[in-house]
Amino acid sequence: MKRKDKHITPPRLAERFLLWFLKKDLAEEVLGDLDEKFYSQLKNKSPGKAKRNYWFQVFNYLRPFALRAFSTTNKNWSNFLTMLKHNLLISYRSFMRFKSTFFINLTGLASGLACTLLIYLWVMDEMKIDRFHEKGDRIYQVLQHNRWGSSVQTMTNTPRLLASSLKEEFPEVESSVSLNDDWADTPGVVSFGETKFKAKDNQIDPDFFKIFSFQLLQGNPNNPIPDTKSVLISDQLAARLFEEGADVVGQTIHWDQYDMSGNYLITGVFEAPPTHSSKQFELLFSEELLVERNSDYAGWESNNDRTFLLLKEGTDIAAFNSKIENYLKTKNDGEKNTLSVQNFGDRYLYGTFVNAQQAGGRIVYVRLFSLVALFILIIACINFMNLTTAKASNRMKEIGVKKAIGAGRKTLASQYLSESLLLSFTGLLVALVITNLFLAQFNEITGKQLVFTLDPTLVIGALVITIITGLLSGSYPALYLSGLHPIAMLKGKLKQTFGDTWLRKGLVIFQFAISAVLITAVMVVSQQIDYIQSKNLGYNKDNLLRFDYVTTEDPGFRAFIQELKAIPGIVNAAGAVDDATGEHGGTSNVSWSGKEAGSRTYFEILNVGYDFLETMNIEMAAGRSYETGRDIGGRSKIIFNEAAIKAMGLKDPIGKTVQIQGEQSEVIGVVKDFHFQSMYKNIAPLYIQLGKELEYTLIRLRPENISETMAAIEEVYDAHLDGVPFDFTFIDADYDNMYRQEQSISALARYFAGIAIVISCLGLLGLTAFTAEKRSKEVGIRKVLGSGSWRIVYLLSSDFTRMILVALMIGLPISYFVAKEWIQNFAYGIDLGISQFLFVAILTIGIAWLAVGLQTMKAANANPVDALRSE
Amino acid sequence: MKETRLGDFEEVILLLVGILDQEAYAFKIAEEFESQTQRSVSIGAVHSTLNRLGEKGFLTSEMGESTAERGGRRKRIYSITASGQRVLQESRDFKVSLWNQFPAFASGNLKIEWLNL
Repeated sequence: MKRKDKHITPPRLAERFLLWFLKKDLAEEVLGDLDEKFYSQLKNKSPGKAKRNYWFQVFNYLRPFALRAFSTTNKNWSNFLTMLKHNLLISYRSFMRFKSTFFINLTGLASGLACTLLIYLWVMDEMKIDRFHEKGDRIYQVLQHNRWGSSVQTMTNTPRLLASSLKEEFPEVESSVSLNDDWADTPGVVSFGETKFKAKDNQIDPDFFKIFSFQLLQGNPNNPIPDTKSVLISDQLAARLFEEGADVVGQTIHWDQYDMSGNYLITGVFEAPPTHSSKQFELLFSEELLVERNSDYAGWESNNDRTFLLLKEGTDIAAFNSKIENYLKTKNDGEKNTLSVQNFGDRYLYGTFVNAQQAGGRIVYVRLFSLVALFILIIACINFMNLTTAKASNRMKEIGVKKAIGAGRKTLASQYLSESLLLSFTGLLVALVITNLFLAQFNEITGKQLVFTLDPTLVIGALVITIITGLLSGSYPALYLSGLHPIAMLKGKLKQTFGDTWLRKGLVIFQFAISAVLITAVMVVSQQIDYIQSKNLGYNKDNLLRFDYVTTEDPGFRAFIQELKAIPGIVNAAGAVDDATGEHGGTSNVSWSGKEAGSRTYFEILNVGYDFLETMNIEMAAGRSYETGRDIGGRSKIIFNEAAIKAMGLKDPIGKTVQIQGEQSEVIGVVKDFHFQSMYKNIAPLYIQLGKELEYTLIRLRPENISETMAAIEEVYDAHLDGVPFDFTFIDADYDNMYRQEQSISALARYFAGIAIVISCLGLLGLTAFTAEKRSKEVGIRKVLGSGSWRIVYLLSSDFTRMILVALMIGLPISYFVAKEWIQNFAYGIDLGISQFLFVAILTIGIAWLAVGLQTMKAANANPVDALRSE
Repeated sequence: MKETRLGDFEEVILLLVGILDQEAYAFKIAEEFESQTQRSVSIGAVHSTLNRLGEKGFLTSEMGESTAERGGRRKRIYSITASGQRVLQESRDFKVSLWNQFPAFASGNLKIEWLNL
């Protein structure tokens, strides 16, 4: 019978594999069945698919009934087992014989693998953030690029109206939602009967649950929050507020937060956002509530909302971006700010914009750490190879003897490979133990909740890395030494080849270059953080206590502040809405006499209470601060900072009036510039206004008797806010929190750099020991001829010193560029000078000398007779 | 004593052997299984089950003729033994008795309830 696809046959290798394991008497029927299957597949599937299926079928015959007996009666098999046993024994003996090498190898490899595993877990976790939304590839966030002066600042704040009008005017937008994220920063107090909790809130539009994959457990999915009197709460909050099994929907809760306070009817329950969500909230109110309570929020001038769009399938993002770029101009004459969208899932890792262009973000750290992990792993592997190969030449006699008795090359190769594989797998085991031990600490540093689970990628990755390391390091002795002539080996007449030494030197240089880069990184990051923490901020952040006091009632709060001020340990106290360590609102709707037409300077806004400036120790440059009784809340009297005055070009501003969002405001004072945002930003134009309602209380304490003062404060607090837990923070801690990311990175970098240098030094130590041993006769002869100990030390370490100098010449320029790049992220960065790099160089050389020093001293001080007598 | 209970998958395979009659060999049974149940199965899994059923005494087998698709190789044809038929019968009787004891099924109400959903 002729078939037209006769030339296509089942994969031969699969057939051979099948015949290898299959029972002989099954072969005919099984091969026949599989052939039939294969040709029936070919009729309607591609040859590739049919072949893959054939393999699949073959693997499915790996079942007990079909396997032929691989018993010990099988000669090859038993031989293999015996040899394996022998190899393991020899490996064990050689580990015991060269204990220090074994130990160095194991420590190096295990800590390298452990580092890599930890970083891998961290990276995987970072990649998961905000990626759980089902429609994630179509959810985009609108960004506003704000141009003041020469710089462009990208922010997420957009007008409230943007979401709905973009949906109306652009067919690409399937649905849109605006959120009010920044309120979520300051928690409010939710209460039901006597139960009170602090909770985070957010305000949403109806389509929220249709766009994001947050789950609405109860409630109307089309319009979960029907009016401004309704609220959704998370299942976790519901469990805390209500008894188990109680009907949550339909209950009324009370909410205290600034001007959002009131009673709300629960109309639904949602599942608390997963850990991998950058958005965390426990209560959801209607976005309309904000507009109702805060008329400013309605207009195109106000930028208080975050806008998210669900774009239709197949939307060309570049085209859409250029369509909406100047959209704001159609709503606001003279508007210079431009818009663009970015995928919401990308926001977390790619959140930084420079000149309205995407430029890095957390992804930089993700890449950096992946690179560090890779380097550490490479360093560890290099060590492993270097030491194994160096030691292998010590075992030439062993190989020679074996060859002389008749061991084949294959046997020798398999012995060395199994030995190095054994070592690398032991390393992996130790690494797993280390990873588990340090995971808790690692979580603390990184602020994550990583769990060590054996997901398939991790298992396969770790196995592949281990096997590759084992094979590579074992390959030199296995392939090279096993091929040498036995007699030459027995006589010990082999010289090290030129390429051989160069390879080893190159590897050491590479290791130390990487170590130098890591050391520099640690130094620069920690210096920058020190700089930020010690920089004069324009206010005094020490001994400043803050706690939330959510109030809408002025006289009560005034009494509260008066009682606080009466406590002897308190210097001053004030209420405020905004602070110097969080995000602020802002507006560009400010006009003044002499303002250029079309100029749209953006002003940050700080809402404060009386005595805020005094409590913070912010100095006035001109004019006066707010005074109780003389000034009332609102925008009628404002204070600018120097940067604002400069941006406006106002001369002699005190007593002048400016218009802010349509209201007349008198300038009563100018404060000296102070850092009210992170050091990544320049001090921006700012105006300060007296807040009508306050969110938190700020207290400056005397440094003495703080605990007594705290007790007194808590007494006053309980008298006024009974039932609300007294949670306070210190401003300097809040300030440090702003740089949490940098601090955790600095801490991580310190650990990893430490490990890298330790591993490198271990390698160097091993190599020195090896060289010293190799040259022990030379050293002996030199000593006999009258050479001094120091001369010998110099002889032995000059080689290594030269290698490290070369490593530094490679490593330092690289670290300079990397460090410079990083420092440029900060508006206020440290200067990089020669001295820092000199320090790194000296440190690296010093550490390396310490590592080799002990070995060389030992060799130099040894009795020459011992070295010369042997043989 | 050999295990003589019949598993779910085993029962289906046993029935398929009966259905296919002279064509009951591993490849055909696997194909038939896939087309009847819409679930994929490997020939090895079917073969292993056939083997087990043979050990339990429910099936016998002998080598049949060869064809060109099989590269001239013969196939092993399976057929149900008397004890195989008995065990199938028992399995069916047992299930029917269970069905009869379930009032919702017995009265036929369940179907209507499904439709209402």
